[in-house]
Amino acid sequence: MSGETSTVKRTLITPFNVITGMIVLVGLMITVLRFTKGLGAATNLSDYHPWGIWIGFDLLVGVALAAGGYVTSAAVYIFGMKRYHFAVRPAVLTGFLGYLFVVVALHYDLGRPWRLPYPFIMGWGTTSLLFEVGLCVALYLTVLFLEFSPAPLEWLGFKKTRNLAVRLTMVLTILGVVLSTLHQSSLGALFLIAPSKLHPLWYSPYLPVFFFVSSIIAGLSMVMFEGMLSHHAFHEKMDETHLTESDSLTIGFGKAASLVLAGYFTIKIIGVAAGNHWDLLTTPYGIWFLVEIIGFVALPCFLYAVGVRDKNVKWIRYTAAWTVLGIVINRLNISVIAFNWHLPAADRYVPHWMEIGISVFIVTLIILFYRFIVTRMPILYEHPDYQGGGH
Amino acid sequence: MNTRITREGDINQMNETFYTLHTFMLHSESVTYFLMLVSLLGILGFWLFLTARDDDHE
Repeated sequence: MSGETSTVKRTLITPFNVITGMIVLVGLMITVLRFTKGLGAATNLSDYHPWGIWIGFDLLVGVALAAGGYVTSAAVYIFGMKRYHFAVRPAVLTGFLGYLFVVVALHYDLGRPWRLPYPFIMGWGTTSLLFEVGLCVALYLTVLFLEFSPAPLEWLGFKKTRNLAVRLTMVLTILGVVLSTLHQSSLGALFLIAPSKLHPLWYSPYLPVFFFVSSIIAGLSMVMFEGMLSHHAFHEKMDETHLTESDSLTIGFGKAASLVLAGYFTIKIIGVAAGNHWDLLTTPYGIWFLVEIIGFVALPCFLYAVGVRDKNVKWIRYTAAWTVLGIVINRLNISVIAFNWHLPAADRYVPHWMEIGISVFIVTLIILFYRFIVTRMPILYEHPDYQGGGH
Repeated sequence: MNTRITREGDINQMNETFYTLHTFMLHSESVTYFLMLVSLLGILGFWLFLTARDDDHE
């Protein structure tokens, strides 16, 4: 008996468990503080900066990086790339968890969680972009839940319900693409209201297009990056298809990401030309803009191309990680760094350590949920009872 | 922003003065259309570079 107890203790006290346990504990304490004492106790938000990293990182970055779900589903079910079918479930799971925790994180910014459904019940703000984003995210989260549902239903053994859910796949994929196109672009459109606050190099009438196109890059890169991490962490959970086909997926998605990055680079330059902002490129903000455009758009575009030409999977996966970082920088530039850029340093926003703590807490929760699901449900392998079922 | 109104209706940008919105639009749109043409050719070249070693090319 004592031997069994010591075995359990040994397996529970791992570096992963200790670190995530501490993060979760601190996160819960900050959560209590934020919801009992208000935004002022846990954030550095002000009238100048009502949106901090809980919007800039948790929401804008979260939604962009969760785009892998609609990108992969569209590639497989709409564009007929059936050879990438094995990647749909992990991508949809990441998308589902990403959106779920975007909504969770939104509560920290909004407060009063019980009022979240108000826009859909009390009055439809049909002229508001924020309403459109809210509605799309609510609908898309439902779509992602239904797209993901065959996995838990197979795990629970609900065969009939699972078969019904599988029959909805095509409709859900089309809905997912439509809703994602709407809200990914609308998140960029939110900043169209602030031409005097956002630096002219980042502000553009094409912001909705920039956000949508970059979400495709984020989705493709995130699927490859997440695949790399999954191969390290859950190698033993993967079936033969996952193990053998992931290289072909990386090369295919790497090629797509390279081409979309080339298009994105082009429209960003055209954005500068349309506003005739060439002179701003020599200012400090201009240099930072060039770092983003050359270092995190043009460079990964070229690196992806080199990796695809050489069929160097490792190279492509590292480039995917670099591109994901680029998306994070882009969204933070627009929402925080280049926002209210003209204010004196004393009035600029620097996130409170508790804001960063909550963001780390949210990311940790996503990792924990992903780990919990992947180690139990048929995500990285086909359930033996449903092999060749086409989902 | 380096754009500033120097006189009523005049826009000074990039050390050039645009006296009317028309001249500003003509200038920026011309540059934009030129860049679009260059981009189309550039992306075509990039596509050839990207797919040069594809299996169906061999």
